[in-house]
Amino acid sequence: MRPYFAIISDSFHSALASRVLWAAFLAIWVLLASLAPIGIKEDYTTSFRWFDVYNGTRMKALLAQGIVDPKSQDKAIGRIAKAMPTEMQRQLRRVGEGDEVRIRLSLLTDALNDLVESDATRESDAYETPADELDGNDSPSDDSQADDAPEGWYDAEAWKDTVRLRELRSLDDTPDEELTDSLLRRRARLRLEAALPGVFESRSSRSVLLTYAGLEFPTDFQIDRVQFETLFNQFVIPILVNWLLGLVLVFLGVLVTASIVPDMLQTGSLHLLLSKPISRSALLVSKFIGGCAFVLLCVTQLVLGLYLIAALRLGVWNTRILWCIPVAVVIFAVFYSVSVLAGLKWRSAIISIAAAGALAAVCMVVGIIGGVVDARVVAPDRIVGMTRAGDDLFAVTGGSGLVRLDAPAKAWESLIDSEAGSNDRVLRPATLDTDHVMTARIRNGRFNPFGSGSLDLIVLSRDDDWTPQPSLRLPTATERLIPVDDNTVVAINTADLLTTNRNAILEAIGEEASEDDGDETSENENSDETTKTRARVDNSVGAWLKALVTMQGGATESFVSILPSDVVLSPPTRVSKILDESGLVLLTGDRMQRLEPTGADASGTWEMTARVNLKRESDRASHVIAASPRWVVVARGDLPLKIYDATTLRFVGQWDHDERRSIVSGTPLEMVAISDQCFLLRTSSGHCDMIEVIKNENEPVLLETPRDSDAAFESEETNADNTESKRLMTIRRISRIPVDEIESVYWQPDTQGSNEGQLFVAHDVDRVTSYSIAISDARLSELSNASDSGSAKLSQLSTVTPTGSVWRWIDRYVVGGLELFTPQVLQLGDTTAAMVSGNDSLVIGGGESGAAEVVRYRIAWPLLSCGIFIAFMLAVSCLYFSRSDY
Amino acid sequence: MSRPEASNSSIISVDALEKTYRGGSILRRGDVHALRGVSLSAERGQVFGLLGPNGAGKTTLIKILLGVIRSTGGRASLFGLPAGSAEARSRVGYLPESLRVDRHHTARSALRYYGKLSRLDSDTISRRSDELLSVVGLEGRDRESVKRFSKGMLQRLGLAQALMHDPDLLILDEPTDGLDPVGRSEVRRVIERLRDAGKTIFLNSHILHEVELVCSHLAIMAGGNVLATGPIAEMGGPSKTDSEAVTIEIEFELAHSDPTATSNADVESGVLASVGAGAGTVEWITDPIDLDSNRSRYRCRVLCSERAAVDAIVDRIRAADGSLIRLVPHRQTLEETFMRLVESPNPVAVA
Repeated sequence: MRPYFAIISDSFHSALASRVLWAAFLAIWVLLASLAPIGIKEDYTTSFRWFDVYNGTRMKALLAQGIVDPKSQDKAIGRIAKAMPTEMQRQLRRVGEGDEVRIRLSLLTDALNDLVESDATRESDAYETPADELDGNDSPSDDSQADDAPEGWYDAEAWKDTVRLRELRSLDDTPDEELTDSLLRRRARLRLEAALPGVFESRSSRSVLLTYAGLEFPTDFQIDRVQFETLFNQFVIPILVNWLLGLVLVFLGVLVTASIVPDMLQTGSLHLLLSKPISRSALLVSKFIGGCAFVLLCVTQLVLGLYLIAALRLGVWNTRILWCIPVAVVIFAVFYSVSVLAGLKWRSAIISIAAAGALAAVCMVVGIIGGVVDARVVAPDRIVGMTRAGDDLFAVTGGSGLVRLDAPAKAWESLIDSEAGSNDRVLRPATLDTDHVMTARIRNGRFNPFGSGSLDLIVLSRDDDWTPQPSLRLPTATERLIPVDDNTVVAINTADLLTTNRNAILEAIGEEASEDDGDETSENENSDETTKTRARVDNSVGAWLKALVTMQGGATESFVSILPSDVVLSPPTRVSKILDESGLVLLTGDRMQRLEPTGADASGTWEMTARVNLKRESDRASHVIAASPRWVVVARGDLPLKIYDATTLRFVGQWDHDERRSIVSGTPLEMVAISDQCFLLRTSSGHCDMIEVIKNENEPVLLETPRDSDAAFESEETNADNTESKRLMTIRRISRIPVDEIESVYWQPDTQGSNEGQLFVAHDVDRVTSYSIAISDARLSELSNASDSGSAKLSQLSTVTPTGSVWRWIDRYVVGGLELFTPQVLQLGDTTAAMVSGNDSLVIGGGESGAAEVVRYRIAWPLLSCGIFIAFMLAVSCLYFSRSDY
Repeated sequence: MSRPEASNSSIISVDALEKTYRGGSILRRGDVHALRGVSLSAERGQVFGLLGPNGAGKTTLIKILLGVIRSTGGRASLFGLPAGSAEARSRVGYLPESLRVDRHHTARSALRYYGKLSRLDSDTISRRSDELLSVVGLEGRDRESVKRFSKGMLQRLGLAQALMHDPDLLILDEPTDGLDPVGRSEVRRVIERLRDAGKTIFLNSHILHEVELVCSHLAIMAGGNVLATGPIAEMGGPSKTDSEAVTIEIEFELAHSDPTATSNADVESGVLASVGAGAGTVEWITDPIDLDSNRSRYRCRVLCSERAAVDAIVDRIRAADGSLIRLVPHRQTLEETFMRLVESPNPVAVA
């Protein structure tokens, strides 16, 4: 091998002698030197940014209520509203009076930030001023004075009614003199958050600020550390690889190395080389490797520099960043392989460069075509949620459409049209009964939970040939509909849980409820209850206030709030219906609660029967939750799957992340309870696994007798789901659903409480495969353990591959063909993102408002595609070189 | 033309070697026949010169021997191994016509690089580099970038690299091309030293004088054919291929046959009559020199069809009362042979 190492080394030295290389080195050093002063500063999250606001309309409505509702004057929202600037108060008053007033979120957050500042300043000045000034009760109501001196808005009495986080309680209990300025501001912010529940997204208590040479960036860029690391690893680094390494350095490399082969072919050089006892193919491959080694040197410098800056200046010690080096070399090798062949054929460096440029253009064009077709053709057809009524399967699509599967015709029948790039949001359909399906379409609701225009429940009836019909007026910002029993439907929105009953829904579309659906008495009771609640709303606040309540997402004419008074929704919220029961498990603001109807009727009042505070985790991914009568399983990003007792919500065990990732890869997206012990877990990797809660053999402690709920509250308050707790249970995988690229699953038990049912799996965009799952009694046993096997039977029933449109055909065969024969260079950015982040997918969004957008990073295929391309080009080059006369 | 048989000691053996470059036309109208059945052999210890005009096929032949291109017919071998095989190439040192060494090299790094390509280890490379830099006269300049080297220095470096692995055969393609007289002399001295050391050298050159000076054997090529091949001493042979014919240079004194003749032509015809030679067979080397009023000295070259004709001429001179001053068989110069062969329509085997 000595001759070939010599050639590699010589190519390397040859490139090293190039002035272009030294220019590149200089550019790299200048870049690194200019990036080196970037740093981060971590501090408490004290100020509000517009993107912290999850529900701006609710904030507006709450503040307006604080202005106009006399009963709210001495409450927290009243005090906050009064402390707002005069102009803001005027606008809020108009809101309260029913006018349509648009207030920019940034103005509201600026006003709140002024309040934070004033409160912190006031407290810090308090030691030097008379104590009576601390009480803001006597602050003048005069607008001008309020505008000039918005201080004294906090009053401990007024805040007693609010739900305060543990952090706020702790800060409130700490004497002011022991708090730093940052903590005073933090406390002020938490007080505002407590006074405006359901308005702000949950944020980490500490934020990072970007600095440059010690100076803070003059931008409103303030995120928490985990978000920063996610942003850095999943966006900044891939962008750097794609543009800085993939474009600039690679083409610089091509420029420098394009002359290696033409130079080698010069007569005085080539004949001498060929007279040596070396293989021509190996000579060429060695020259190729030599060129790549040159790029390796450049990329290594840059990436190592970036890694050190990230580590030393930003505190991101992510050695996976170094994966960018081989990926960048692979990108270069793709273009260089073409450059080598062109150099062999035409013996011209310029033509070699042109050939590499032509390949880049082809890759870019194919990438753009693929992206456009995927976004405009494939994505709108993607199935993102399903339900079944009778034998009919309904699905909501990525294009915000609603479709029904016409199995005999092998086609999805459009009920609400899908549209590429639609801003509308169609709620995941829910089955009312075997003949009725309900959903809702929120105009412009994709990025705004409130959308625009009125929001009506849409009911599709078999008798009307599944034609969408408007039914009841839904609460504002409804995110999901859950039928909790045969007669009751729960609507979840950003601030409340509200119920209505089946009869009301059907009456609204002009249908009479059948006798089977409920007896006369219960219907009357329901009607009475509805009326009572309506009256309750009407009587508690004035009619003018009712509009405000509705605006906040409160009760409407037909939907009644069931949220117990001691439960506040703090986005993001996840709700799971307990399998075979009417109860719900509600996870909101790092607090999990079990809600159950107080009586037999689910449309009546509800109560919280158990509660647990979840440990505040650094991973802020959306929760995924499923509840069986026995267990509640909670997943969140890369955190372990945690198991709670379904009755007491006591933490009983977990499935460790590393163990889970080795078996079930990807971020959990959806979980469905299919029996007491068994759950379906769908992940971002496109797989769905059947998992089972089992006893943890490594922790042979018997389950303790469940404690009473109050005791449990206290215990979990202090101990949360502490990892030091006994891990009595764990999870294992039973089997994997044998299809890939799973988009959505729907589980339909044969009968309530049955151990059998059908699983419908939407995969490969819009294909549907159904399975029959039967779970044996042994598996249902509480004492089932890891030695059990084979007791869950999975058998495929049918697969429907819908006949697609012409564009789908073009996507599959034309675009797919182009992509097959083009090196997937652009997709290597995905590969880098996956390697740097350590995740094979990126989940954007998620939660009750809609399906999470999943970006699946293709790791193997782009590398394989580029590898095959390089190997092919090198093989052709070697063949040409070996068989040519020079 | 006779086809030389390769002996066991043949270092180079070429037999009916053909090479046709495709012209790209389907009808093969543009095909170029670079070699048309070339045969030659070079033995161990010979300095074998390959002579021919541009386009004769010399470089093509060398390329085939080195495996740079493939033949389209015939056979070529080095050391009994197929020409172009890695084993054969490992025993060959090659100096290309216009050596190009990458500009990032120094003489020493270039020798190290080419030494590694010849599969030498580092110690050997280091030792041989010192020796060869001294042999080619580049000692003391081995750390200089080749960018600063003159053409002569580059050629000497080329020679050094060709000798790095102590090859059994040295193929030198125009080793003195483009060099000034001093450079040529330096390169020639190196070749002579190698020749004296017993190396087999295969040398391709345009320069007849240089070939004459260093080569022991020669092949003359033209139009893709070998026109003559053999020891260089035998290259200046008789002027005709017929072995009976002979050219002599004769110098004699003769009395005027016709004292009344006034023109040289008349005088010469009289002399020719005296010696009995036909007009077309005599080439006068110098004009007659009058010794006195009756006698003149003549010097001419006479082509005799047979050896007996030489005797007859001597007899006639004597009979005409002439005095024979000098008579030697005439040998052609290499240039004359080369020009004659190249212009001749038929190839000639010299040895």
